[in-house]
Amino acid sequence: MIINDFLYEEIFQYLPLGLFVLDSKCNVIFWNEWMVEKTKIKKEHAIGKTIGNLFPSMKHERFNNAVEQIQTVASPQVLSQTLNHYIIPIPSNIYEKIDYMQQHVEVFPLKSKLGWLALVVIQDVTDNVHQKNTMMQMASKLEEESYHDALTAIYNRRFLWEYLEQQIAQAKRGNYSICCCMFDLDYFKKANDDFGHSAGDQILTSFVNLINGTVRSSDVFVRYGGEEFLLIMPHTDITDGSKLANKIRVLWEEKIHANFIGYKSTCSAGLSLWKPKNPVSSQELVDLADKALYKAKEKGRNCVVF
Amino acid sequence: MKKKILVVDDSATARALFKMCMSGNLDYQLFETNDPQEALKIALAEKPFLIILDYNMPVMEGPKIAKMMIDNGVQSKFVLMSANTQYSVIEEINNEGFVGILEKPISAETVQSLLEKLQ
Amino acid sequence: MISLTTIQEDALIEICNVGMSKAAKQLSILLNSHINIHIPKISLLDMQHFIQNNIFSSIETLSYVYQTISEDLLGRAILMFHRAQATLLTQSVIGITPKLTEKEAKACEQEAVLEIGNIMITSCMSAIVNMISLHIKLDTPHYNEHRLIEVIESQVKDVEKYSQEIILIETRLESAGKFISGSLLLMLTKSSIDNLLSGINNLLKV
Repeated sequence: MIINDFLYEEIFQYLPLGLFVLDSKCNVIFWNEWMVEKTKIKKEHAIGKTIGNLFPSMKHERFNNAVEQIQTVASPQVLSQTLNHYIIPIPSNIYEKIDYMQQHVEVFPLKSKLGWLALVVIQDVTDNVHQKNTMMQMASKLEEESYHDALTAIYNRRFLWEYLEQQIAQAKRGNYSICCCMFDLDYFKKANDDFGHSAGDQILTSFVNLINGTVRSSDVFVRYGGEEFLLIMPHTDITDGSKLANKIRVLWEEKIHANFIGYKSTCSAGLSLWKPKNPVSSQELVDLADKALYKAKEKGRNCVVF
Repeated sequence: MKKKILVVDDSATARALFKMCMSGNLDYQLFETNDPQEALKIALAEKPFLIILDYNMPVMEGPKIAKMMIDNGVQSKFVLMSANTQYSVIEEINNEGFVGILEKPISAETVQSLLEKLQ
Repeated sequence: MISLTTIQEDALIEICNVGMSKAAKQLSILLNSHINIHIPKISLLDMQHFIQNNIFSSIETLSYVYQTISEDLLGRAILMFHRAQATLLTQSVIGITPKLTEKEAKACEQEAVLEIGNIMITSCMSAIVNMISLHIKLDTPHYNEHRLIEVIESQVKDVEKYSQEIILIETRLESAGKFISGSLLLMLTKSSIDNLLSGINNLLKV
């Protein structure tokens, strides 16, 4: 069976995509059934008008520029949902927080005797956007409510403060000390730049696994920031705390990362001590560790300071 | 007495393009250079009514050259000739007292209408 | 070895300066963003030279968008950024969104960078051809991520189908604050460069 013009026309009309064609003066010369159904604008009404005429409230800038590029350099144009949300304003009431149909739009050059025509293709991506928004909301909420870091599964900052308050209260009653150590992975941002974000995630996970395998069951390990970690060691003085911190530092330095050529993993660490004779607050304890960490960085990194 | 115009742009092509846009116009005498210090010398010696500056130049940017000239007593009008006409640039040249902008690519028409505006 | 006179180099650099500035301006208008892009350097290079002298290290991954050029000019236009900056670029345009998963965030960034690359390449090329009355056609934009050497090798392989003699015009761009820096590379055949130059010559004759 030969596909003739009539069949092509039928295909064009019934594709589940918005399809319309603009001539060199930006007037509509073709308008498919999808466009009629979604915009409620009949074909006879659309033909001969510009998109600006048909949708006066629409922000034209990006779309007009795209059509211009078709006419001058016959360059296909991508108008993504990520940057534009939608081009043709089509109200949508399916999802609560989405007022207009979300669209992925592409414009293609078509050759004609009078120059380049613009074929505009509109994809409805509202469902995908809704799903993405919902999942982002859920992920945010989970992160806020939980005590665990999403990536590494160890405790997060929210947990830290509650836990530390309790520990200090217990240490007061029990008359013992708590050693606090802040670790920071050296040149982490550079590794991220050189090897990409997923590499960065792998490095963090690797560090966490190393620490989990090294610390005692009474120690608590928390992800404090992007590449910062806190180790809380109850019943520990500064000497023993620094020994443990140094053990971790050396193990991390010796670790081989086969996937990341040229990456030398090191970390810096700063220690602080809570003791009954010098009962600082939880915030102060962490701040002191932070200051010690800063000194470690100043000393050239890959060292432990207290 | 012909009116004088000084064009300062590090691109020989850009200066040639400007000259070409002025080629029908016999009312003006044109000077050109790519060097800020030489531009200052010419400005002080010839006292052109108009100095046209490019924005992006290796030694010193256009607005800074204008400021340097004004500090040295040059009293000409300044116009920026540039393809870089983002908002921040326009704001910067307004602050430095430029009287207009010639957007690249220039044409005989845009140059003509600028000169008419400045009469 | 391809060599151009100083005047010829000057002409090509000026025309790319205009093209790229227009592209930068178009980007900031269209995306309503506050990226103020300026152009610190434009150079004409051959392959070896470019590989040794550019802003990207040999091991890092780059995000890049490319389109093939045909008709009066033959070659490729490639816009390249440091991979990490693809994230920054996207965020500065659409704002910081809570990171979902690595995959979702990546998909968003890819879409955004593809469009940004598309806008810059087409604005730049259309400004250039409008100036000198040439006719060109660009094909669909493509996005990918590779290390520099792989980018160059794959791109050159495609352009070499037209001609062995290839010239690179590199335009560096930077955002205010220098947190985004990239390169637009025009990889053109020698005859394309000749077409560009005669177009510019015609401009200068009344």
